[in-house]
Amino acid sequence: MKQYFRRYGIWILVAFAVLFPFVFYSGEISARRDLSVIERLAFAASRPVQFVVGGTASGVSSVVNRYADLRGAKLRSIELVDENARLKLQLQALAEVASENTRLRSLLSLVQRRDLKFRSCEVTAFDPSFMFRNIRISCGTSDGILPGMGVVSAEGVVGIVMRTTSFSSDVLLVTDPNSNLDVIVARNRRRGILSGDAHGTLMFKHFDRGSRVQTGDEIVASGLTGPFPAGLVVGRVSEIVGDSEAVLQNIEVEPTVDISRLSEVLVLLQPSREVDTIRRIGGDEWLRKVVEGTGRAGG
Amino acid sequence: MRLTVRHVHYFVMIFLVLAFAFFQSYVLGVASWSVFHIDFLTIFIVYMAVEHPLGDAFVRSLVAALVVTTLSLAPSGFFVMYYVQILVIAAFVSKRFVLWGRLSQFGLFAGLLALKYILFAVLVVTQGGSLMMLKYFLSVLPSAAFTCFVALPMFRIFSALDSFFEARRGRDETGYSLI
Repeated sequence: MKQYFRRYGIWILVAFAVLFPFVFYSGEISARRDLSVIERLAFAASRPVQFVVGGTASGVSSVVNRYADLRGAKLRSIELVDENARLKLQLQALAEVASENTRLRSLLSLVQRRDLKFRSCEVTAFDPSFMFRNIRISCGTSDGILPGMGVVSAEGVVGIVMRTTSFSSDVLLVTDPNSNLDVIVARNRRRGILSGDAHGTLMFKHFDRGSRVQTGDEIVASGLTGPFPAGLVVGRVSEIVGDSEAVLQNIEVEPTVDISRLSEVLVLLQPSREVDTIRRIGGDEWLRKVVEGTGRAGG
Repeated sequence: MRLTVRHVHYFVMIFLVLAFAFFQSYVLGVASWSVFHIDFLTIFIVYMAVEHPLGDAFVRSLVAALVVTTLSLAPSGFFVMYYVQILVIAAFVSKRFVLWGRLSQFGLFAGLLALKYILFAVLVVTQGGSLMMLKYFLSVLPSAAFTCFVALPMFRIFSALDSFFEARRGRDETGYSLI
């Protein structure tokens, strides 16, 4: 036996090292998002290097961005003045519609929509493996950010806050394979789930039976579950594989937000109704467990 | 305790691991063009597996995996497994076979890098995610190709760094101290 191990031990070790990860990941794995004690220690110990590299990167990028901003600034400012004048007119018209909407909702005894409160944060880092899709933003618990809050940009939905520290938060992007979002097709109000995939796009699945989806359809947040208010744009249908009568359809959705060009995001400060209820009944600890537990289910 | 070149060398290597992890996250990850998504950490770990004692390389790989885990929302243990996997394979292959040719070195590194993408694909598929092989392959190709392209020059740079410390260590052991 001893001789056998002396002879083949190295081969067994190599085979184990190669095969074990595949066997391990073929089973159900923990969706734990919080750092373990050892990981927290590593995080704390590496802070000085993080500070130096992060600080240098942010300094250099701010110099480069300032130079890039100055180029063509005159032309851009003229365009923005025009756009501003146009938007002011639109805003006046929309203010009238909004007040009419509020009046009608109160007449119909519908619940009044809350104003969105948000905090602007800078995107400081991306996933270092370039495979998982998450970003780190410059706001943390000291800014009122909590796990479960939604993150958006001017173009639409970005992701959900999964992990927070005092001064930074990690956001799971909608394009990550672990992300699932409750959405509707804006054109016909059909509901479904939008998941991230391995190549940076989104897949529309579990949609209502008999739904018709067309290329170019706008997909928006349903507002029924998750932290995003109804109507917030998530993406547009870019490709449908299999006709509308087919049992199985692969519906690919292109996100409206260009994740690779994100530099600033907005964190929606009011949590969703479910998150509010969970926190009120079970407290922060329970909420944390729920967020970790639904990590695999995304929103 | 006297600070020797050996200690300095050890800590410089740990520092490089940390610096590469943060450089990938804060600088390369921010780049919108995926060609810049060069995996220096994998290059460095493969180099350490081939050129350094396995124990030292293991400790540094563990540090790399822990730091990357703090920066990523990957499932717990993913990077520990991947780094240990490539460490064992690289050490085994380099000790069993003599890889003099550049093509064989390139082939070894490309194979080890491919393991990362295979492991990720296995993870996505087994957790019920969607994966279209051709699209996935095309999406990771620029990053993987460029990482392979810079791997051999990077090996030479790391080797030069090691040689510098080895030379200083020779002087250190004959009575000269670095600090």
